[in-house]
Amino acid sequence: MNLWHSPAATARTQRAPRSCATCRHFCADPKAIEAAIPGLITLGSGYASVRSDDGLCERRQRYLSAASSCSQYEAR
Amino acid sequence: MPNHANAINSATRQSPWRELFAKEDWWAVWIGLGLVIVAGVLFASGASLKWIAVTPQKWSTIDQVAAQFGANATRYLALFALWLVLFGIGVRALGLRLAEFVPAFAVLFIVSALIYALGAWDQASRYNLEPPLVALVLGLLASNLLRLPAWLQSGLRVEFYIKTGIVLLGAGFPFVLILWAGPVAIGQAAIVSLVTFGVIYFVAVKLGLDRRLAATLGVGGAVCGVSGAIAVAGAVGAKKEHAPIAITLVILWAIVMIFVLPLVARALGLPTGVAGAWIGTSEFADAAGLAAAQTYSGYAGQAGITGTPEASVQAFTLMKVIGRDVWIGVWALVLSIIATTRWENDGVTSRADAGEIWRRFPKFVIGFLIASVIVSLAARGLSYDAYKKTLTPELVAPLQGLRNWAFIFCFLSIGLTTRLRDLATAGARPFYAFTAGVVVNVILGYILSTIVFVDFWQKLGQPGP
Repeated sequence: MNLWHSPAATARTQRAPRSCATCRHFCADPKAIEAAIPGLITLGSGYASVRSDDGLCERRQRYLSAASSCSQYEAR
Repeated sequence: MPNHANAINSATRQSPWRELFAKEDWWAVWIGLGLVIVAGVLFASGASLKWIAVTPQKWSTIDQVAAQFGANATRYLALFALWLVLFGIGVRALGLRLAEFVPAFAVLFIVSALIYALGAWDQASRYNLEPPLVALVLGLLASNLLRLPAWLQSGLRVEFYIKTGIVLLGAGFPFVLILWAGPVAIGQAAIVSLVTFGVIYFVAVKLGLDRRLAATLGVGGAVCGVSGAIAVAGAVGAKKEHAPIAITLVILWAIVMIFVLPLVARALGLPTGVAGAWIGTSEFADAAGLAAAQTYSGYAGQAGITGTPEASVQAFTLMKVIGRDVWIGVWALVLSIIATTRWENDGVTSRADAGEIWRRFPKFVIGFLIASVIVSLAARGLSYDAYKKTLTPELVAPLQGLRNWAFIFCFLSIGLTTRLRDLATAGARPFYAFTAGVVVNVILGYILSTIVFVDFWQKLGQPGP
């Protein structure tokens, strides 16, 4: 699966290695996001800049910024 | 999610410039600006892009339109190849399957060409057969009554087409007009956005909805529809089901407004610039709003509707893109800070920073502005006559033709991707909250566009000297 990951997120990930961006419960892949959010492709897009590097946390069932973090972090 | 870890690990080693080729917004900029630059170079060397920017011309009988297609078959094939290559490179870079995109885009192009030709029928306006409405209705019927093949989905990139079209739209937009009208558009949009957000958020919270859902609904209704909803859902850390609820409501109301706003504005005889400003204030998404504004531009000159056809789309763009869209990063940052500091914390820590404004900035707007600057520089020093007789037909009109193609691809894609049975169930309370915002938004947008700033928007639609 082709995962999109922005340079901004990369930089922040390097500063905060325990953030969602590197957590195994977190998925920011635009294709997976489009499949998981009904209607997103109708008047929006998983590949849009406004979405930044947000993704779905399967553990908490939340849609989060990649820079978020929590105690249930598990490295990939 | 297979290969997820490998993918992210390899992604973190990518060049920081990768985003320029990994986001749809940037690809819209490269494609749109590429076309503008090529058109500019050809114009400077005495040639034009107009051969390939073929569009259906007015016709009265089937024989005439068949003859048109027959005589221009090579040009239509070349145009199809051009779009296929440009969008194909973009979707491949985004990671979508080219093998599915190519046949899907071929279907999209053929149906779009037929809709475009239908709109050129000299009786089309008599039967309300404006291309945006026909594309939308046809797409809605097909997606909800037929079982469409899965591969067709790959060609239905609504946002990619509309963003490319908006960049091309910049080529017909004098930069001085943006400087002149931008502040008013921003002022009017700020009033409506703040009030609409406040109404939706307040009603939602009063009805007992989660504050994160209230904020997602609020920005979806007040700022930029689905894009606003998904951006704020991430910024505030919404529950998984919040964004789909907001998206369902945005889509339903946006589609209703595509039909209602132009028809009501026409019944009221609003000038094109005024109607465009109202649509830009009260529609929820760029693609839906441009469908409504483009429809209204087709009414110019009919039944006492004054103003140029372009004024409707121009006023819409100023209001929606410049007045509302570009502020999404600010909304996301502010709400992210509020969510982190004021709302209940359930163990997730967010790190909001000012970089949020740039990360979420709709980058295609940069392409729109640069396209406007390029063509404005090309027009510098030309007399009005020279502008109309040379620059318009040789440079601006071909780019407008290509823009109209991109818009029709988008409008048809909206219909073909709106499968009502697949949308999330919104529930009564989110519906009431969002609808309260819709009512206030439409009334306030009407008052600001037709009373408070009416002289301004009317002037926008006046023909040149």
